[in-house]
Amino acid sequence: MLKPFLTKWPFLFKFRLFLGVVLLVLIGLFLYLKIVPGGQITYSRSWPRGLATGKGFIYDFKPGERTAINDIGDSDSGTKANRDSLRIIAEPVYFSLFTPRQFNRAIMTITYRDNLSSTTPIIEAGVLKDKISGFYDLQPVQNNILDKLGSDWSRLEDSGRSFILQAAKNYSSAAEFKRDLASGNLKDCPAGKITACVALYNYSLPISYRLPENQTSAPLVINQPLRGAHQFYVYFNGPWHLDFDFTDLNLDQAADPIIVDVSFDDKIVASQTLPDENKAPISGEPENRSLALKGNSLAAGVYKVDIRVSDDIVINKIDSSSDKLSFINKIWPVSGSKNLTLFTDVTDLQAQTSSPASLQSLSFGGRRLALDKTYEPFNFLAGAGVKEIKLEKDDVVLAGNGVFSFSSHSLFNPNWQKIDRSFSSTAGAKYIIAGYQAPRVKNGLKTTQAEFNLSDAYRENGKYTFLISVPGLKTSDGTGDYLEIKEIKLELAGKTIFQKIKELF
Amino acid sequence: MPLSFYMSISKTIRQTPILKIIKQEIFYFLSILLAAFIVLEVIWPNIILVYLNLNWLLVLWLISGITLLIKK
Repeated sequence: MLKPFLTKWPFLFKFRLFLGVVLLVLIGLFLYLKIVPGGQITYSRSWPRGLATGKGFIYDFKPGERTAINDIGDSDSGTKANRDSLRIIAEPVYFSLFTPRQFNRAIMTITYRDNLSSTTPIIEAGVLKDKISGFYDLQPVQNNILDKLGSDWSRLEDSGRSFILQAAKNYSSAAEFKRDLASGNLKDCPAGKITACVALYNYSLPISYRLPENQTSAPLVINQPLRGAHQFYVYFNGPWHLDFDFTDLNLDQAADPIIVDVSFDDKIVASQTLPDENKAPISGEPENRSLALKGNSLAAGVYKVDIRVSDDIVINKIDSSSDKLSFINKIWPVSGSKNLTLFTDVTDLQAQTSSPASLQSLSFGGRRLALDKTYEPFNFLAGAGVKEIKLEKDDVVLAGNGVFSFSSHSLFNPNWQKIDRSFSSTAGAKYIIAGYQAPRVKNGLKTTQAEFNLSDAYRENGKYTFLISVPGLKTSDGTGDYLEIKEIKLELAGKTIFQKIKELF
Repeated sequence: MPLSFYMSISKTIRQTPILKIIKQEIFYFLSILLAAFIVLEVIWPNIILVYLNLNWLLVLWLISGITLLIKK
């Protein structure tokens, strides 16, 4: 059969047939790569890029001023290192991952070299989960605090990647420790102070806070406008209500839906959504909206309220049936009121403003501190305990690992102590539970993995958004710290083509 | 079999300007390939661009076309 083809058929026909087959193979190959029939594929980006001509799957590292990749080859003395890597000189840095289809899970492998100081002990990577509130699911890459304590403290292996560190060798097994933890009687921990005695990192434990019997809660109205997404803890006992007044500033083009979720024990017990018809985007004309939720708490306890809105929305008023109400990790008071006082338990406060009119000297824990540049995060350290923040002018984003409130009576932090960059092993924690694996070191390069659930991650135009965060890394401190990325590899897993077909029938 | 294939090609070369045919066919091939890639890119954005910069294919196609014209 092959012989007549080779001898009798004209050359032109054979050549065209050959090119036709090549064409079909090439188109078929791209369709195969689009569908990913096996459900598993790996995309990577390395520095230098080699012979790759396409834009790749991992790209768009921004903002540009936080990376030093643009310095490539600008001189022949000493910039070779830049050419070979992506330097992160301030945080966070965002990047996009293009995928031709949806996936459920991603394992990120990062190969890097860190030139970081003791003020930046933590590196994390995250994937965008909620576009409206800008929530990222962060996973650990490197934690020098745990790496150091791992050699100083006694370590108990738990399941998977998690482990327990104990300052004194009180327990010989993780099961024994967990039994005492569940009963609330850990050795070396004062009774009733267990949340201050155990610190967590990338690990969650249920909140079991109860209001002391000598304290009662009364209704509370917060009239201080707050801008953008906020989360707060509120303590309810019996019937409860939460009423909100919002203003849509209509300063940006996108629609601004308002979503409020109330959860108890990590389960949503009430939720309301106010869609935005977006009749007057970028008009600058404020639009008032309101929303109310109510329920009945069968068991007294801490509820978490998640207000998922964009920065175009101002929360004008919060009317709560309980005055035990503390904002979690961030608060952004706005609208020009003077001399505002807040209370917080954060030890590392970050303050930032985008408004020149809000530059000021603020007071934190009795010390006066200068907030003298816009668009630059300023970090202020203070000791443990409740501290006052006094602002001369608002429109300042205050953030930190802890809670904020407008009165000391309202302030309560039911959550477990978390390990952040200001964590001190001498501050009271006797035990650490962490879901973390130290990076492997080879030829001066570190390699580690972080796993993400992509099934509920935000994906727009075929792109997932990731970030790399090194809390405390900034150029303005003049330390010259940086993180040098050599390779980012993402192993993706999703449904196979057969599973998808099965779902159709 | 390789011998007969070689003979077939030799015969064709003797009878027609084979190089011209090859150039012409490559030009057609690149034209169809470029069009197919552009259509795929329009239907599913980034499906090609993440792997291949189409500008390079366009340059190759232009070179192929110019070569063909010069010879004529």
